[in-house]
Amino acid sequence: MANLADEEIMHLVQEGDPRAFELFYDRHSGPAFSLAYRMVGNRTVAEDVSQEAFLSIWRSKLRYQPDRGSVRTWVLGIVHHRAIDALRRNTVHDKRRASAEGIEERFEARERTDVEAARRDEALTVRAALEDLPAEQCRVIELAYFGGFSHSQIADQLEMPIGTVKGRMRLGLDKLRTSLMSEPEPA
Amino acid sequence: MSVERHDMHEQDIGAYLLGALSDEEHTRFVRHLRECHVCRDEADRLQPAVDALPRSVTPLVAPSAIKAAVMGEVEADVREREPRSLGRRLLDRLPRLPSVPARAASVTAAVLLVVGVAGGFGLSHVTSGDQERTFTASFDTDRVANGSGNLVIGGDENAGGTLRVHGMPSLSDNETYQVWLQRDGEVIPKAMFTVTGNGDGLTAVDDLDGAERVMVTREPAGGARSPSGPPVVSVEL
Repeated sequence: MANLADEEIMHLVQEGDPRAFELFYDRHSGPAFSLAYRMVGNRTVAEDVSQEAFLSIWRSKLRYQPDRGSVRTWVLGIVHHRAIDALRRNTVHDKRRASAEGIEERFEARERTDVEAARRDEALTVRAALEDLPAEQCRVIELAYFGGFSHSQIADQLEMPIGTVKGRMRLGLDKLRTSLMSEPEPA
Repeated sequence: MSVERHDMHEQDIGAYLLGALSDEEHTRFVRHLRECHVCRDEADRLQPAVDALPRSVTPLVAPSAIKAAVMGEVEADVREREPRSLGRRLLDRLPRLPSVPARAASVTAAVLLVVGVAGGFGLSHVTSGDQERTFTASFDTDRVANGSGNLVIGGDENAGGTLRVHGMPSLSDNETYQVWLQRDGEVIPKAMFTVTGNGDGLTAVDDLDGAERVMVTREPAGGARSPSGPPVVSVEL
């Protein structure tokens, strides 16, 4: 089973196979927790978000549809929604910085395996592409995607018109896409 | 679909993909996408940029506690996948019992709870450590769809144990969960407890020596002298 592709594993998970689900969990828990923690900034909340996301996949048998993207993308989309729910349940976006908790030092994936090395390289690539964006475009994208803020909240925070915020979101995504598409494929 | 409507919505594509529209705006935009291939194509074109964002975060290893919690729930669900028996279906049709004297109620309750347990809760799973034993709780899945939990008993049964439950339905202000012990044909009322907003509950259960079963029912605030219905949680010892 360990050699099955993600899509094949998902088929078994959706049939209620607990061993397939465990393998599915092992493959995607790191990126899931990483995203949850990046968004909520608190280890306990990030653990809850991750746990809820995986259990919702197991229990509600959320249907993965291959034509909509990879399993990884699908899982991270579920985590993203759960993290936004968690952020919005707190009336104030109260996030501690990761360095204050020291969590990154304790849980950072060391480059023990090819998979972890590839994750790190990919993270560097995407972060570099984000940082190459004009600052205001990068900012609105980060506030929206990682902060869970609506366009009107972002407009208030940055003291700019809503239309400007929306425009910068779109332009930023366009530039990001172009930048990533021009990156050479990993070896 | 008019050009004007397209112009109204086109600017929302980025915010839509980033999840930054209000609920109402999101609904309107999704409706618009169904009829506007230009916006659909543009959303598809920009989607890979959004998909890349979570991959920009520092790669972390998920704490092992998450896997323990998740797989504990998964394995509990698998164990509870027993087909509903005839006993369970009959139990669902039993009327609520009227007030009766304590001893009669105790015997009747024992019958009720035995039927409830035989009907379709499934077997408890026992794991043993050096000094303590863990019994997995079974749930009435009709009333507790996502329940899980266990009873941990230390080396000395007289010292009692700790019952932990998750995924329990919330209670109103006029209700409580009540623990019962079944022993030698009697059903004995024990502790009462409530659950958090997440459905988590924890209670000590004492005097377990010789107990055959631990059960939880939903009762009026203040508890009851006899169970008012079939258990929502059952732990076979």
